[in-house]
Amino acid sequence: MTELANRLIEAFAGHTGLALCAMDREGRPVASAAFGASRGEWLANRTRELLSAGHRADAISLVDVLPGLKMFLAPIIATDKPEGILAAGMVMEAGSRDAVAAFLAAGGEPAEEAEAMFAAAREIDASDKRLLTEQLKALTRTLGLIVGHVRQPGGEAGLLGGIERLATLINDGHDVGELLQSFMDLGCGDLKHGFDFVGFAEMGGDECVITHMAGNPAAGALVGTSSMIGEGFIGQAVATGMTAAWQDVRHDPRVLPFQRAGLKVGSLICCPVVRQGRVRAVLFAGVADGGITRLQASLASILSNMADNLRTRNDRLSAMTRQSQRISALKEILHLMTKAKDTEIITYMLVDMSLNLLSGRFSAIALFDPDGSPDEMRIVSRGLSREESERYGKMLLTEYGQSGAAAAAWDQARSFARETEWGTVLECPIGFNGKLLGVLSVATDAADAEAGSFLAALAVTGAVALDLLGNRARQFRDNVRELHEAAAALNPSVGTFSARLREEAEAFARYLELPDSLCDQIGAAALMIGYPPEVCRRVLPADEPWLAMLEEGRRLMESAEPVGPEEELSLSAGGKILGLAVRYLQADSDVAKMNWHRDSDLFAKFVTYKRALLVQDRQIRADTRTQPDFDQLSKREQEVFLLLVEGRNNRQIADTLFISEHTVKNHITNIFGKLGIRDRAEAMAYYYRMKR
Amino acid sequence: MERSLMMLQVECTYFFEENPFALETLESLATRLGRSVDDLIPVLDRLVELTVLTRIGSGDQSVYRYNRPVTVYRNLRA
Repeated sequence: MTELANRLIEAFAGHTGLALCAMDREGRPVASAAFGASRGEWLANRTRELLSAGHRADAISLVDVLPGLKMFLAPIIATDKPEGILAAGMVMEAGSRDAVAAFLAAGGEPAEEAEAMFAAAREIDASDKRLLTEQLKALTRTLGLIVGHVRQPGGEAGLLGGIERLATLINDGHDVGELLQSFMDLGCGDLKHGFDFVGFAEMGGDECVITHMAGNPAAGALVGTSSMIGEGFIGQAVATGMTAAWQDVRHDPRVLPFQRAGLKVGSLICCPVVRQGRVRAVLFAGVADGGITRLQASLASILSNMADNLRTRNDRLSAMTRQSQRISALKEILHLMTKAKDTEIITYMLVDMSLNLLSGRFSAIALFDPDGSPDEMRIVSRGLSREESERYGKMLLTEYGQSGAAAAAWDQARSFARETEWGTVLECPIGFNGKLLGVLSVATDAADAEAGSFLAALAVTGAVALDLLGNRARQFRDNVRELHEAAAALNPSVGTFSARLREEAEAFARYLELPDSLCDQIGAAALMIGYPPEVCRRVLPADEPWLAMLEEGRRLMESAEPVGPEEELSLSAGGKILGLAVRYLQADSDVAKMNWHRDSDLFAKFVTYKRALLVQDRQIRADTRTQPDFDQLSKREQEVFLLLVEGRNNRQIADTLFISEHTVKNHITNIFGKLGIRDRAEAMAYYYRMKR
Repeated sequence: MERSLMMLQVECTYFFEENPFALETLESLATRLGRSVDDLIPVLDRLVELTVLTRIGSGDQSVYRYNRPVTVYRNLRA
C-alpha cells in the first residue's frame, strides 16, 4: 500500500469511528487503522476464518462475526482483479446492544477481544447501513485505483527506475553491502519502499551469520551475530526455506536481539536464498511501525535475488582471479622446473610449489626406485614430521606399491582425494612412458576438481623434468668421459692428473654435502682440466657452471701464486673446491705446503677433512690387516665398489656403468657379502685400508 | 593476493631452493630479486607460514633461510 492509501484508510476510520483493516487476498493485513493493533488483528483473524469457511468476498457484504455483532467486508479491485479485502467493524443493529451483551455474558464468546470489539461497536440503522456501504464502496474503489496506478507502467516508473538502478550495481563490481545501502538510499528517493532497515545473513556451518546491514545507523551492531537453524526469525526462515513476514512483532521476544542493537521493529520479512535445495543466505528487512505490505514483500524478494546474484557473481569473479593467478604461477613453475639441474631441486620444487599453489597442511612427493624394489620409496615432505612422513609413506606404499590396489590402476594426470589422519589428501601419481615413478600429494581443505587439475599439471611437469634431467645428465657424463679418455690417450700424465683431481675435488664436495648436481659439475670440470675452455665450450653445453669452474681451476693450475682472500672471494663455489684440490695435488698432497691463505674458512674445512681421513686411516690400519681380498670381486663388482666409495649413489653408478639400479643393488649386496662389510661407511673404511 | 605477489612467491621459493644455504635479510633479498621491500613483506610472511622459510630474529634485522623438506626412505617390509 502506498502512503496515500494508508492515509485514506486512517481518514475513513476517523470519520466513521470504525476499525479498518486492509488485507491481501489471503487475509494477511497490509494496512490498518484500527485504534489499536489488536483490533486490526482481530478483524484480520475473523476475515481469514470467514474466507476459509468459504465466504466469497467478491462483493461488499455485512457479515455476523458473532451473533448480532457484524463487520463489513469489501473487495479491493485493481485493474479488474480482486487485489485484497477491506474489513470494517464492528457494527450492530440499532437497539440490539443489550441482547448482544447478554449473549456475551452468557459465555457465548469468551474472548476479551470480543468484549472490547463489542464495547467499541457502533449501532447502525438501515440508513447508516446504506451510507456506510456506499462510503466503503467508494473507499475500496479508490484503494483499487491507487494499487492499480502503482502497478501500471507510468505509475510504477519510480519503482521500476529504482529497481533498475539497483540492478546496475550487480554488473558494476559492487558487493552485497553496497547493494543494501543503495536500496536504503533509494528508499528516500524513487523507490519509496518504506523499510527502515535491511540486512543479509549468510550460512556458515550450522549458523546463519549477519554479514551486512543497512538503513538505521544502529543496524551495524547486528553484523557478526548469528542464529542457529530454527532460532528467531532468521533461523526460522532458514529452517523452512520459505519467505515469511511477521506483522506487529513489537512485543515478540524474538525482536530482542534487534532491540538490543537499538533497532525498532514493528514488522519483519525474511526471504531465504535457496540454491540447489539448500538455504545459502537470508535477506531480511523491517519496518519500525505498521505491517509489511505486499509491495514490500515483493521488493524484499527481488532484493534477495539481486543480493544472491551479486554474491554468486562476485564469488565466481574471485574464483576466476584466483585461478588466473594459479595458472600464471603454474606457467612460471613449469618454466623453472625444466631449468632445474638437480633431481633434489625438482623434488623440492614439487613439494614447495604444490603448497604455494594449493595451500594446506602438508605436501609430499614419494618416489619409487623404477629399477629397484617396488616396496621401497623415498619420501620428501613439508609439513610432516619424520615419523609422520614414514607413516604416510607406508600408506602410499601399501596403496601404490607392487601389491597395492592403485599400482595396477594408476592413471597419470588424474588426482584422487583420500581421507587420512591429516584430513583430505589429494594424490596424483607421477608417471612417464607408462611407468609409475611416484606420487605427489597435498593435504588441502579445498580438494576440488580445480585443485586436482593443478596438482596433476605439477605431477606431469615433474615427471617430464625428471626424465629430461636424467637424459641431459647421462649425455653430459658420456661426453665428458669420452673427452677425458681421448685426452688420457694423447697425454697419459694429464689423464692421470685429471682423474686424481676429480677424485679429490668430488670427494671433498660430497664431504661438504653439496647438491649432487654441483658435485657432478665439479667432477666434470676436474676431468676436463686438460682442455682449453674454448674447446669445451664448442663441444659441451656452454651455459653450465662447470665451464666457469674449469676456467678458474686452469688459472690456478697454471699459476703457482698463493691464493689470497680477494682471489678466493672471486671464485665460484665449485671453483674454490676445484682450486683447493689443484693446490693440494701441486703441494704433493701435503696440506701444510698448500699455497692458500690461512684465514680461509674453506681451507680450514679442507684441512679438517684431510685430518679426519688420516685419523680414520690410522684407526683402520691399526684395526686389522686380515680383511678379505679385493681381488675376489668380479671385474664389474670392483667397478661398482670404486664408484660407491667415491660417494656415488646407486642411480649415478647405474648411469656410469650403463646398467640398471636393480643390478647395481645386486652387485652391492654381493660385494658386501664377499668383503664382510655391512654398509657404505664400512666400504669406505675397507677402501682406505686397501689403499694403504 | 595480487597476481604479481603469487609470482613473486614462486620466484622467492625458487631462489631459496637453488640457494639452500642462503641467509638473506629483507633488503638483501629485495636487491637479489630486483623487487621492492614492500612487495616482499607479505610474500615472506606467507612462506614462513607455509614453513618453506624460517625467520631468524625480528624487525629489520630478520634473516630468512630455507627449510629443507624432510626426506625419509621407506621400505614396506621395515
